[in-house]
Amino acid sequence: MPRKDTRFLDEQGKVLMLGNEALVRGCLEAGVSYVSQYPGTPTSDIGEYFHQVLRENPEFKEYLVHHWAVNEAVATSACAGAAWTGCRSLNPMKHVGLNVASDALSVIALNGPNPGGMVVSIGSDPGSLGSHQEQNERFYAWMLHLPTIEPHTPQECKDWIKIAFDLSEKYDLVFDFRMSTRSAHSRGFVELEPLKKGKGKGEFIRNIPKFNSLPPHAINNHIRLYERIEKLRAAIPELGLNKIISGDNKIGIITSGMPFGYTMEALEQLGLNDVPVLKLGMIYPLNYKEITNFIQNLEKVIIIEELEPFLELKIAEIAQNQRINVEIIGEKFFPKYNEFSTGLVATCLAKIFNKTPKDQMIKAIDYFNSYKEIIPSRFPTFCTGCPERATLYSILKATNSLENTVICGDIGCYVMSFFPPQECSDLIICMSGGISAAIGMSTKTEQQIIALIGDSTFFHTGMPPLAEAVGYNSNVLLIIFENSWTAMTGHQDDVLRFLINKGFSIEKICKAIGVPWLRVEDSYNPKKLTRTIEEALKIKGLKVIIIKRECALQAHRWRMNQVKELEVKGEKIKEEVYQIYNCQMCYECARILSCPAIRRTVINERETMQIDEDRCIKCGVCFKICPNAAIHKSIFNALEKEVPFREI
Amino acid sequence: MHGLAQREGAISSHTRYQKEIFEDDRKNLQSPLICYGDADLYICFEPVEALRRGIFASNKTTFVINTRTIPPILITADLEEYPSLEKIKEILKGYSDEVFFMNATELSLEKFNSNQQVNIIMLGFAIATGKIPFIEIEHYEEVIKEWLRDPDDNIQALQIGLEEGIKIIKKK
Amino acid sequence: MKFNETDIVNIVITGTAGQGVITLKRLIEFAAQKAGIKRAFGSEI
Repeated sequence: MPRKDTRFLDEQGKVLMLGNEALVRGCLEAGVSYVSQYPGTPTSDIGEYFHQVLRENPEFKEYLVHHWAVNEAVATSACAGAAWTGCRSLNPMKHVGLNVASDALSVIALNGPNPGGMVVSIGSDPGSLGSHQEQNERFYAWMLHLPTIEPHTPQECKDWIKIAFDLSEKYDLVFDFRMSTRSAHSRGFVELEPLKKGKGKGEFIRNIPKFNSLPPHAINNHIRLYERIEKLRAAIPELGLNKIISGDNKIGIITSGMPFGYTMEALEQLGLNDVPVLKLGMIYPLNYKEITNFIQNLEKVIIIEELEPFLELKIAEIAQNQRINVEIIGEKFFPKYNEFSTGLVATCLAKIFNKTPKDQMIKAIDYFNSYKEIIPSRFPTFCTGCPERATLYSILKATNSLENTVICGDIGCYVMSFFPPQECSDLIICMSGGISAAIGMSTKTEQQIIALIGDSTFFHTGMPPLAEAVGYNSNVLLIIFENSWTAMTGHQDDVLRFLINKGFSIEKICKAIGVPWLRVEDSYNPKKLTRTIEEALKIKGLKVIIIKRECALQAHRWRMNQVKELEVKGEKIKEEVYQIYNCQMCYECARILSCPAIRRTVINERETMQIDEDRCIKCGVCFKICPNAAIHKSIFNALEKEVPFREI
Repeated sequence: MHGLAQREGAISSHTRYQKEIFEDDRKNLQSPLICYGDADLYICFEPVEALRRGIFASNKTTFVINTRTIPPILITADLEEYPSLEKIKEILKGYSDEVFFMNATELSLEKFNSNQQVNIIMLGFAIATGKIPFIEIEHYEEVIKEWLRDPDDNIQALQIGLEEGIKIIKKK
Repeated sequence: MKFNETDIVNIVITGTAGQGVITLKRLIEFAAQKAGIKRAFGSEI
């Protein structure tokens, strides 16, 4: 059996950890006792590691609680609530989650987390590697006065989150521990230090001025916030978060986080080993003297940061206020979008220093560009047997391939609806943005409007716009995917699961809220679903179809485990197999359903579709939709025990 | 890793290490990403994926590639074209002579009746190139025993990959 | 090609979801740790 993972438990040693794993380890060394978050890349696995620790070591439950919150705003206020009893609380969220949480956070930052400490760990995503956009959330740090620490290596992730909690408590400030998709998912060595138990129980002590930021306390808390920030600002040089790599060149660099690594390797490649570099571990606030000391004897300072200039503006402001005659450049040479890399930084620095990048690198870029056109695209797509893919098939059939139809997409696995060949989503805004946009759009167009939403998103922020759509009887068909999991982020054991176990039902909510036309369907029955969609689109006003079918990944896992258990007991299982004979190459399964378990191949010199048996999960949808009856179902052990997909 | 980065999509990772470090930290490994053209070795589980991330390759790169294709959905839908293995080979030969193919999926199915051992067979193949220096077979075996299910099968898969790999590389 | 002990070794692993790309990366890194490698830093996306 595989060894138990003791990296979160050992009192000492050197281990390999991802940035996110190291962050969790740091929290356990810092005595964090409450964590709340809504899952979202790149922060979802933070919660998974906490759950792993709690599952494998129940004794931690005495002092550590982890909640999967219903949305980011709830998580943030929950963390404040815990901190206000004197605990240390961690609130991870993805960059766009901060938009949802900002309402709560703006007040919590003003009040301050004392007597406890609170760290919000934001997972930024330059390059949009796992998100619907690459928003530069650093500006929230200015707006809400969130001191921001940005680590580079897993070791810094672990060590600095502890510093963040110490400072949060000391200065009564909510800290932002800024990760990125890259820093969260890069692995390196981490030297461990002893664990520290968090507070099992605390107590809320009444303090009306501190916790009620309304007049007259609002302004006092604002004044107090500036005092706290200024005290922290003065202490920065002693914290050991910022460091200088010295050099004699008159051109210097200021950078932070992952771009620091790209910068150092780019300088080495260009032979620029005398360029002084200031690596900022704390990117907000900045200590004026520390910045002044670094820039005052330079002719030029290059700011290397991903996305819109943030450090560049603040450093230029310091230079101007201190009357330092130095040229500050950044966005003039570096892109304000996408993720950086060593190659990109080297290319930009080569221009500034009038150097030539390594021949090896230039050739690599040129040669890649010479053939990249022939690389076939490989979009992410719905898993084999996904009930959402089957629903899109029915939508395409019911609307004659979206004729006179607008699909308002949303966030969840169905975000992938817009990819070819189905191309079944016309717009994406944010969590519940689809149904909301549909309300407005339906007042201005006669086109048929279909909005999509999943159960977790419905819960996150989907119920308010549904209530509004009921109120205005908006001419919209809302399709709710009830697959019983927060699937896109990795099936967390979240609030949705708890409620499902307690009999939560979207159908009951829709009825209670007053949805005038409601149907519950199963997309594994595609012809019936198609007819229901056709029927719905003929009716004016709000219509809701709930697609009740478990996420195929989870359903298949569950089914295979059942089969395995029964087989161990010596039972025989009824088995179905789908195969294609006499394929007419009509492409119904490949272009309209587009199941990834089906491949195009040549057998006996004849082109045909073929089902990959090891990838097919036997949902049977292709069998039901093949217009030429070329997909055949064979049953083996017909009289033996049947293990169907479970009902949800 | 979940979200848009998964779901049948293309996956790649960068592995970087340094046996001993310089006193001057400027010369050391500082970034988790390889610079364009700087890869010593490519291990590719699917042929076209070698091209997709090809920008990190150069004349110092060795390629080991599993020949089994996984056609993306637009290939099945006949809306895009999958380049032939010959074409892929020709492009990669434009980098270096060290381009090696093995049908690791077939080997895994043949020996283990499962495709679960493909990645370990590919590891053996990769080790055979000598481009993963300073790590001995015993180190891998220890890790396999500690972390993987079916360690015996995986250790056997490592040997198979290594032996087949040596044959393929010698033939050249 | 002969590597010096201070050389940075660079390996790209590619494939499609579910093929074990990340497992292989971790295996090499954990083996590198056993081999007494001083520094490792690699990305899983």
